[in-house]
Amino acid sequence: MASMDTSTARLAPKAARAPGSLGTGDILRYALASIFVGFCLFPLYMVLSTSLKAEADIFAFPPAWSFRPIWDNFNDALFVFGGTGVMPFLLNSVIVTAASTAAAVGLGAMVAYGLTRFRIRGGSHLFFFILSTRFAPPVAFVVPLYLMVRQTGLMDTHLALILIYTSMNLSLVVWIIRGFFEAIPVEIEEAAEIDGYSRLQIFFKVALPLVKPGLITTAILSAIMSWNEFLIATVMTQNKAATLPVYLGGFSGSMGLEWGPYMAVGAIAVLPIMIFTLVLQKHLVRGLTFGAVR
Amino acid sequence: MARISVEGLSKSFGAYRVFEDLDLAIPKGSYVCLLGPSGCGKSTLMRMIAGLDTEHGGHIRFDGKPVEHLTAAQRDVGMAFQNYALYPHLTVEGNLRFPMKAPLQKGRWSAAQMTERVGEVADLLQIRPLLGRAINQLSGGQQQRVSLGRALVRHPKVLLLDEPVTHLDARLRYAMRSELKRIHKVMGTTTVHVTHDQGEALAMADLLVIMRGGRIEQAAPAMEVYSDPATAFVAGFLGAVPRTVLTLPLSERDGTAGLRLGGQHVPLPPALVAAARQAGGGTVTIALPASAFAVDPDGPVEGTVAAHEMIEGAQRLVLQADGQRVNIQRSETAPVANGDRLRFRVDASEGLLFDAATGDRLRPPLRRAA
Ligand SMILES: Nc1ncnc2c1ncn2[C@@H]1O[C@H](COP(=O)(O)OP(=O)(O)OP(=O)(O)O)[C@@H](O)[C@H]1O
Ligand SMILES: [Mg+2]
Repeated sequence: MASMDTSTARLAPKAARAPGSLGTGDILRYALASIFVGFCLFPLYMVLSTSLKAEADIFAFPPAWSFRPIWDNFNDALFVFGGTGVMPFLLNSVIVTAASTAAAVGLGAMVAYGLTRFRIRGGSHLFFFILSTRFAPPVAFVVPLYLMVRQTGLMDTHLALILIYTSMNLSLVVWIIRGFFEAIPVEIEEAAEIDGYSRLQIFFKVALPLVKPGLITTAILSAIMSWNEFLIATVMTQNKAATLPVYLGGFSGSMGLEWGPYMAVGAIAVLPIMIFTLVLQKHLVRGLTFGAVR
Repeated sequence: MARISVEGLSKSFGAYRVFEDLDLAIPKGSYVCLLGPSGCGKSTLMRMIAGLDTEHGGHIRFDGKPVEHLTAAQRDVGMAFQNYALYPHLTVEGNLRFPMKAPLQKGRWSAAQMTERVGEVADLLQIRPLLGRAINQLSGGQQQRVSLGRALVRHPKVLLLDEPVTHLDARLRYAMRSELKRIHKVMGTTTVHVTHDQGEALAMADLLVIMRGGRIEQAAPAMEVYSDPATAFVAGFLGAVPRTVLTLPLSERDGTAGLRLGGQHVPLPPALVAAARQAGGGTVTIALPASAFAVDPDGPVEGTVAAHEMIEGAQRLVLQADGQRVNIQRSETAPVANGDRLRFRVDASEGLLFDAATGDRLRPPLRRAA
């Protein structure tokens, strides 16, 4: 969304030239951008196309650009493998992602609000401290987390992953939403104070609606992280609570790598989070506070 | 409706002291205009009365009862913010309903009453066609009216209006002024109205409060402030062509006392001489109306034109003499340029005297008898 806006802004002054015609500079820029986009999207294309190919088309060389799509791979992935297929893992991923995203955004918004609106001794140090939880690579936490999860009997449960992902996402949420809260003119909340609302009511009725773009942004980022997280999920779950990445990771070993179904599972893993992001992005109303104060 | 008393109010932002021992009494049901230069503390005072800023010294009372321990909500004030501060996520109607839907108002408004009241306020402020609009689809003047509407929609005890009509066009501003006065007459709500517009203040205020640098220079009925200023600042502050305020040494010539301006002797009326003598003589500050000066080729004092402009058919000149600025108005308009030298006459008979150090008014000792 943002990138779209900057590109139109940059092109705007070129209006002097006949509309629709491009200079050499523009052509070069578009060519480079297209190559880069193609480079990024090619693996996704391979996943999606392979998941729809028959065995013969998969191994055709050079790759078959046109082929007759089949749904067998999805059928295998969903219903055949392991007797249950991908479904339970998909469900686990949805549960863990939804719960940890909701918790991280909800808690994070409250923390950010408290830290921006109340004078707290050492508040700015607190912000730094919160961010510092992200300084170390996650792998450094795996062993201590493993011991904690085992001790508390949460091994192979949704709750273990939800708690860990929430704490991993929280710092990012706090940092991003803080910026949104700081952008709200304080008079808007003071007006609500005068109108007879308590601090908590102001938080829910005035502040939160005004940082909706921040909530959506952080929800997207948190969800993507939780959805794709592999390392901690493999360590903390075996199968009851295992998520899609864990299932995907175990694929090659147990099945002797069947590319078609493998890619079908990959597609199933990509699509929900992609749809989630696209849907939420539509609600990113920018400039919500524009014009509120003069 | 409430009587507001501010007693010994002091306030600092860090090392910067805005108020020091400020007193102000606002009678019940009065319409008060706060007038003063930018940065003198008008908004800060409003915020303290509203209860948005409770970290201050001194006391604020409503009807004699201290309100320091009350939250903004409990004080039952309505406030129109200088920067509007509307709720951007609500429509115009949502903004107007918001105060009535507050938990503190629970049970006071039925759904039908709310709708009726929103309609009433919308008609009053001529914003009915805008009710469904989002806030960022409004012009500045429209936003200002919505913020005014939000402040008065629930009939608060006290109305605090921080420059409520400044961003309206002249016609609408005029209409809004009389609406505000009409609302005030009907509701009788104690109202404090901050403005930069002297005409507005003089026209609307029962009590006009002139502030400067965190001090109240004068609080009195508007005409009294205009005709009988308490300080040199007030004397030189009001009016389209403000009084000329000069600080000059007392002088004596041919047995008459007067002031020295541009090397010339300007005689003072005896009452003022007495007032000046009583204050110890030396230097005094005198405020003179524009009518006290007249451009005259044979006049005793010479000045340099520092600025000139046309105001409603008359020519207004600012002349520099003795390093001080003299405001002159004349109806015949001869072309002048900055830097021209002009001679003028001075008639100090309508002068007002002030202490040169404190700016306080020096009154003739037997003024009433004179
Ligand atoms: N939160 C704050 N922190 C520090 N200084 C402040 C703060 N609020 C106000 N001030 C200072 O206090 C003084 C009074 O401010 P205030 O806003 O009350 O002025 P005002 O009379 O309303 O001016 P204007 O007519 O421009 O609105 C100013 O010098 C201002 O810089
Ligand atoms: Mg102000």
